[in-house]
Amino acid sequence: MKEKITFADLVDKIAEETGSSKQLVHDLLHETVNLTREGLGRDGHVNITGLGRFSLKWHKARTGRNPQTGDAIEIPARSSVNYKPSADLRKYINRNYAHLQAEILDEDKKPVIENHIAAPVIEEKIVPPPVTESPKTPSDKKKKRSLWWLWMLITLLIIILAYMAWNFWLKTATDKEPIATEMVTDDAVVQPIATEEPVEEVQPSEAEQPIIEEPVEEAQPTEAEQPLVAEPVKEVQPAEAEQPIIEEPAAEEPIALQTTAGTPGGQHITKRGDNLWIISQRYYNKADLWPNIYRVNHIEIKNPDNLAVGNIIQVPALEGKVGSLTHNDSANIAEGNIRAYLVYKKLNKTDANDYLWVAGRYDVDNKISQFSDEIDEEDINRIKGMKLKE
Amino acid sequence: MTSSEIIKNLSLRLGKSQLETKQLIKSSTEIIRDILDKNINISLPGLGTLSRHFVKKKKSYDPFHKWFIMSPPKRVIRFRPGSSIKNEFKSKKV
Repeated sequence: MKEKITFADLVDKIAEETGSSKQLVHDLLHETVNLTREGLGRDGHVNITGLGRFSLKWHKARTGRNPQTGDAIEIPARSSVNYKPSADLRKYINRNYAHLQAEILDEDKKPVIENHIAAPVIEEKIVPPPVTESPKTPSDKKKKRSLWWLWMLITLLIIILAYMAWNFWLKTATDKEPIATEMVTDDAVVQPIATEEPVEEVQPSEAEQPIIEEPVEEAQPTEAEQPLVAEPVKEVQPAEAEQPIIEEPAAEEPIALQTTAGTPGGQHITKRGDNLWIISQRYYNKADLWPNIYRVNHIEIKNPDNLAVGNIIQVPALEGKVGSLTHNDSANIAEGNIRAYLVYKKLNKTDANDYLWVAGRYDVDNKISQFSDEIDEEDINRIKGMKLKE
Repeated sequence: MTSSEIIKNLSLRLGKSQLETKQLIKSSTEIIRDILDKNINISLPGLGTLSRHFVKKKKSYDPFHKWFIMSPPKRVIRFRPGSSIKNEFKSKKV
């Protein structure tokens, strides 16, 4: 049997603990009950802080059954007073059970969950993993590596092709350049001097000016196509008449284009990419004869392998042809090879003796003995049993 | 009816200030709470009886997640209205 506290005992207890009079506590409890009844009657619910909520609940009429007799009984509609304790009160009396949580029962009881709600959610969560895991497979990594090497090879090929195309373009550009603009034949050099001679002779005597003007006027029709070049010819003074040997042939370029293109016996203005080997190939159609060009220009050219751009190189003509050289041609080629040997010896080139050996083959005038003061005797002895490198 | 209305009316009927009335109600509810915590029934004449009960752990159904759970044991406060208040509001339709 549960212990029960009466209203009087409750009043005594509250009065004792609060220090208030029993009458006041009695009136307080009594009026609180009355106000609760009034509130239920008026609003249908009453809230008392710290205690809970009293409310009325309406029940519809229904048919019940007498449990003893089993007869049906008509239960009329009625209203009942309900009570819901406040959250603070519930929490206080359950403070010893606050740590307990509701446990979900074993999974045998969960088919309801999978069939109704969880199933579609789980399916959505399962779908993404294969997509995220697929790129991490080793086969895909290998494919990526192989593709990387492929791309590297393609880029290397493109770079090599571009480099080859650039070199080819450079060669073709140099080959297509009008040689007449770069070289001057012996005739072209002679002609302007011949035309200037009357200028030098005539200018001191002003009486014969009409005669002087004639060659100038004769030159003008040819210079009419290039007015910029014609002006310096008119302004040339007698004292400087011998200097513009380089410029004057430019005034007669049309003549050079027709007569001296690709033939030796003139001058060549070096450009970027030029070397004696290329120049010899261009003018003699044989690159091996480059020492012959070097022979004439050995004072200006300190290193045959490195030509400065803009240099004027004399290209000597051959008396014979490349296939049938004359005695003088052979002697000149021998001298050129000796000079090539000397300069390469000076530059500590390893293949200097090759040129000495070649000079020996062309040496019809005993040129080697002429340069015996400059050539080492050891090298002469060495080339006797030597074969030319291919 | 709210708590503030009860305090206001009580202060008028008791002739006390609302603050004093509020303090009295607060201390009274704490004492009632302690009595209930000691598993002692409280009988309020004209209203009913408040009692504390122990509910064992039981298998229940969670209608939201739609799964069965094992509810932990807990204590509950129950109210049994008195006959006078039952009869008074028996026919009152809310």
